[in-house]
Amino acid sequence: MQSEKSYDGFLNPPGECRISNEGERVWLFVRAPIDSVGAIVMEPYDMTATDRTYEAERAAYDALRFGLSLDEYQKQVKRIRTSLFVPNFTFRSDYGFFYDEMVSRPVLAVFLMGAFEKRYHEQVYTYDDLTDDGKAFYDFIRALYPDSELYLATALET
Amino acid sequence: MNTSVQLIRERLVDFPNDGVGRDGTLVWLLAYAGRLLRDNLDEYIPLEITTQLLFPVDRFVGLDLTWEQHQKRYTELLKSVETDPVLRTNYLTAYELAAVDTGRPHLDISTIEHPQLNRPLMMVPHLYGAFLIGIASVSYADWHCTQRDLTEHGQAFYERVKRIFPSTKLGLLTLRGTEPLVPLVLKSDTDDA
Repeated sequence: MQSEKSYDGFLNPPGECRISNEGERVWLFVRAPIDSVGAIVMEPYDMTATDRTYEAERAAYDALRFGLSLDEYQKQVKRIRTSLFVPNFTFRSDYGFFYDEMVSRPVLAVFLMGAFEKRYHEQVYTYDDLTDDGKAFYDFIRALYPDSELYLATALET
Repeated sequence: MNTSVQLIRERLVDFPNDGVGRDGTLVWLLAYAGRLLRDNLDEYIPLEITTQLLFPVDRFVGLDLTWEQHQKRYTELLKSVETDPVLRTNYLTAYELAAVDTGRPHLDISTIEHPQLNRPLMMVPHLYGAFLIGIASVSYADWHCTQRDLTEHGQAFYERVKRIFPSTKLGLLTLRGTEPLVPLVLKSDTDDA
């Protein structure tokens, strides 16, 4: 059981030194195996990437550093994320415009795995960065939703 | 809904046997950040650690946290329906209006809209998370899920989620229908989901 003021929850950051003063938030998503059930939720605030897409996004970023245009880079990232998140044309404000965010494809569950007020992880949190309790919870959720795909989304609070 | 895939391995909810409709029913376990529900926030809470659920108001059956007040208000509204000018000019049914009247801070009408839906969206705010824990292919006349309707596995899961974060307050949300809470809209193919 966590202490009354702790939100670090299930996270076990790879280093003790903070990288920046941006807070880290890590969300667990349970992607429904079919699109005909579930909830659609907004992308976590200022999402860095997910553990499922990070390597591909990093390769795209490397390509950007070596000459890929920004426009093409952004298209690549959108393509990489499209199995999990899509540009938001689902929710619009009462003024009639769409929020400049992405939304998830249908999920059976979404849950905050932990939050820090500093950034400790240079990349994104993966299963290996969870505490033993966090891994046990993750494994339990994976067993509970057997045909679903789980992914961890790391977001920054700037 | 395609039933060849297994969505939830364990049975977590004991649904009644006497279904009356074919709309289907969903039960979601909601984990609220309890301190954000208070009027007087007495301590620091990190920002951006909660999310929300959105669904059309006509799918709302009940939330265990507000059920009693909801039903009481609904009865009051039904009695006043012929004379209450507010109700006559409102876009909500008496049942929906009663839910909104008695829902805050656990749920409210959202200012967000959906381009394919003509009903207002209801919003469940301040969530550490939400879990779909029950799906039934039928709907019920007068049933909403409470803690008493959870199976042994359901109770264990309920207690487990409750212990993870400080001030977690759990709720059981019962919705009509089994389809996604809102349709996913893609720019190029609106029939994708």
